[in-house]
Amino acid sequence: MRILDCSMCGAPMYPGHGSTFVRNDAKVFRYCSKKCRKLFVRKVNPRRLRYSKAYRRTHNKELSMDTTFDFEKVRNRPPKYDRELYASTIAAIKRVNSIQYKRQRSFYFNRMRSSMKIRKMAVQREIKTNLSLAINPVAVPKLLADKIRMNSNSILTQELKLQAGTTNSVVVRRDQPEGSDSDEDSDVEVE
Amino acid sequence: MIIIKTIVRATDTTGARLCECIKILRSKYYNGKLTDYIIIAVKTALTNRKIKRHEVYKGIVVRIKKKTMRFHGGKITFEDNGIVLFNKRNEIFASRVLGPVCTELRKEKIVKILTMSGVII
Repeated sequence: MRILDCSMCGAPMYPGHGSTFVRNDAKVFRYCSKKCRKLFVRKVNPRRLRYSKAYRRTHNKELSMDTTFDFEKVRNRPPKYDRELYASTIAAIKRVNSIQYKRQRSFYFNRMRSSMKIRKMAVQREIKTNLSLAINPVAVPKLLADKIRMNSNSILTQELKLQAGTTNSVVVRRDQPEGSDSDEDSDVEVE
Repeated sequence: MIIIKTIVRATDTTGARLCECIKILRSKYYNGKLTDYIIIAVKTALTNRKIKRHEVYKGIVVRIKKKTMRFHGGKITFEDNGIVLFNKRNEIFASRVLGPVCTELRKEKIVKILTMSGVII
């Protein structure tokens, strides 16, 4: 059994799902859903569909050009049974999948770097403007609240420190996979 | 879904093009499906060939427009309703079959069409 791709959106089609259409020149089209099939009948270009794989790859939303994708091939000839080959391929599949996952994550964080900055700025601005909301009048007694209000600047600095601490940890996480990816799948070979 | 009066296309090198279904060789109110035998009347045909207009032949359904379930659990549709014609002696008329052909013929043990056709789907 094979897991085939939808010819419209590129989603995986598991056995028992979707429908196939065969043109008279023997070209086979597979659709994951009725939605995809109707779009094909309407002659919609999948590169202009927002949810399709082709769109996301052309607009740099996803990892497109990578060596890990080269392992995924249609092999029509089944090889002869060999125990070593069998064991090595299963080990290689796991290794390749883990590498691909890491690269996709790093790609995503690189793509989101600019928007993360803007989000961080927005949080800081909110704390500055609405500091009174941070002090709960029920939990804190009135006298204490007045004291805190007097030393509001100290709280601000504390909050900012906390914010910086959380963001810094993210930055560290962002950098690590790129460094660890450098040792590539040179030792992995799949037939 | 082939019923009486539907126009089907002959997909072989006999010279017949469009044919009209006259009868489905099954029970009374049965809609023709893949690998069903039907009787047809030739409506249009190429000139200088063996088959001519208004002649009556037997044929087998090889492609169908209606969505049909397959034995693995998927669904399949074709572009048109295609048939292959038979002789008066119940032999396959043509020497070649054009276009794709369904694999359900193998289950019915009509393997000769599969060997003659280029693409089996």
